[in-house]
Amino acid sequence: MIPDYFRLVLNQLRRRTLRASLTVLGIIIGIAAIIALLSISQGLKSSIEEQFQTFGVDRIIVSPKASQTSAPGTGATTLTTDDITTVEKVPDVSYAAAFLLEILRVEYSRQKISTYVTGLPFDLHKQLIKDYGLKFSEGNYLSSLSSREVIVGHRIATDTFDKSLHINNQLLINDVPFRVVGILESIGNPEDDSVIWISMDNLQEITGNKKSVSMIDVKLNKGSDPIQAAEKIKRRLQQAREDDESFDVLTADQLLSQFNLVLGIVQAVLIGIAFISLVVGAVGITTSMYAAVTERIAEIGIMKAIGATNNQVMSVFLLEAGLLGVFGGVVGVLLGFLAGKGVETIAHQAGFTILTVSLSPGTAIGGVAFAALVALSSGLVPAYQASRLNPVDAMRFG
Amino acid sequence: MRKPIIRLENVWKTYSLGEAKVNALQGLDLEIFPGEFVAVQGPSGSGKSTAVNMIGSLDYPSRGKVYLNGRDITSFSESDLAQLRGQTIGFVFQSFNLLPTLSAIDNVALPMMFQGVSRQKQLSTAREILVRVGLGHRLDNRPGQLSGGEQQRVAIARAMANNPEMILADEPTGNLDSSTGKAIIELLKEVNKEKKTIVMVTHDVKLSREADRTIYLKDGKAVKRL
Repeated sequence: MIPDYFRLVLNQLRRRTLRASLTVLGIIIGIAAIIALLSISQGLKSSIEEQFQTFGVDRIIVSPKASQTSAPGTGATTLTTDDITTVEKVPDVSYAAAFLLEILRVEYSRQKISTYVTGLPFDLHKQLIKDYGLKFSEGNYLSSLSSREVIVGHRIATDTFDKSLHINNQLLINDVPFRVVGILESIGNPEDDSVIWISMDNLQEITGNKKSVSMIDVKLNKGSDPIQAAEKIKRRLQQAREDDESFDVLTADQLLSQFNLVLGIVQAVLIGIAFISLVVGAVGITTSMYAAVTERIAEIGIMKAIGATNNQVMSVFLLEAGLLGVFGGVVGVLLGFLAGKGVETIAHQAGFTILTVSLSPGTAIGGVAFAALVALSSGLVPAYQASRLNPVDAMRFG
Repeated sequence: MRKPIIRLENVWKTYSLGEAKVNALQGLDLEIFPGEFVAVQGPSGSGKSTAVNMIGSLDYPSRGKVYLNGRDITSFSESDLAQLRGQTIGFVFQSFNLLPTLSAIDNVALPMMFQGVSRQKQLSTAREILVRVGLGHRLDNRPGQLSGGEQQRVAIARAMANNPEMILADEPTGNLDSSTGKAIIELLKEVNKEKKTIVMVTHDVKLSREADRTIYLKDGKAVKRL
């Protein structure tokens, strides 16, 4: 019985290729839009989480309160070298690394750019590079506290200057010559791949800024609770700074959840757009299913006259709607995923190689199921109405 | 006394057209017995189409009784009636009413499909009947590839698919030229010789002469003579 219906419906669809493809097109567009947007935001989320995983959960970031400062390097930083000493004394802290970011002139083979240069503590920089999971593609660590040496990120070496940069090349930072001793492997996002690292002492010397710190990256002892440690650090800093609270203490988890909050908003907007396109698609499906049923009222009359029950007529039309929905859903999911992959390719060209567009099996199946559901429900009303017509009246229709 | 296949007893059918009510049938009585070739004749407006609905048990009467094989059709649900109709009555229509997307053999197989006959049996029966109506060479052609006469032969084959007791033909030659129409009547007569009851509804006096007896319709009632 059921294979008979399949044969009948497939036959009908094959002979009405144009009508069927137009109906299916609406489904495809709606589903493709939603799948593309979902797979991009899923990819975005998992790549952010992946970065945090290498960064580690046992870390705490101390930074000037966001609302009270402008960009680092503009002199508005409120953390000082004294704060490092305070943080270091908190029992759970394994080490506290201070970073200073300054916008400086960087020159290589007569090409000048203005960019962030980061000063990091010489005695901790090996540890930090290891803890961040970074590897050198060329060269190695800084050799001493005061030697004029620089470590650069992947993009600085390959993409920033017309001529690519290698170890032992000379980089001028605010006209002071530095020797490139290490080039880092790509991380996958343009910001992290564009770092220029020199020792804190060198940066302080160049800028004359011996007091300020842009942020403190705190590594905790194994087994300590990040939330409690963050509380302790906050309290100590408040005491030492005499109740000044112009700083933030955030655990890696809190940072991640801040990221996720922003990402959530982005996702909500994306899904909102996808939903609208799906509604438009659903209206399209409904219209064309309605038309498809209406133009075949005469056929419905014939089927009923030759002995089809209302349920049999309904089954034929619902099976048709369902098949269109499943087919449109499958094609839509594939196209949507391809569109997502297209975005991924563009992102990779822009340096965001960490973005991997992914589509979970659940989302794919959900997409197909949703398409089938929309098609079925939009076919239901016209098919029901048609199946209840008097056969003779129906046959005279059209 | 033979039992009638279809018996209409004082059947009324009333349609409402907005405020106005139209009585298409006003107390129609008739009986169709097994093996008969009956013509139902009447001018347009005589309630012929409504009579086709009733004789074919395609619709319920507003008043009166319709008995299909001795059973009151109002006692059946719409679906049960559809099943019973599919087994008892085959239909042939003026405009052939074949499904345009299906081949001749699939059109003939369709009524069997709705009765739950196996695909194999559907195809063998459909082929056999199509050969009998002279279309053995047209099995895989779709209606659009067949002439009017051929389409009506497919329709007659389809009407015979479930081996019904009765075939109800509503103006079967109305869309055909006279010689093709004659061939179709001959085919129906042949089918009638195989003990199948034929009811042919027509407005054509000449055609009704081909039948064993004629029921005349006027103003929604059966009359002795027009």
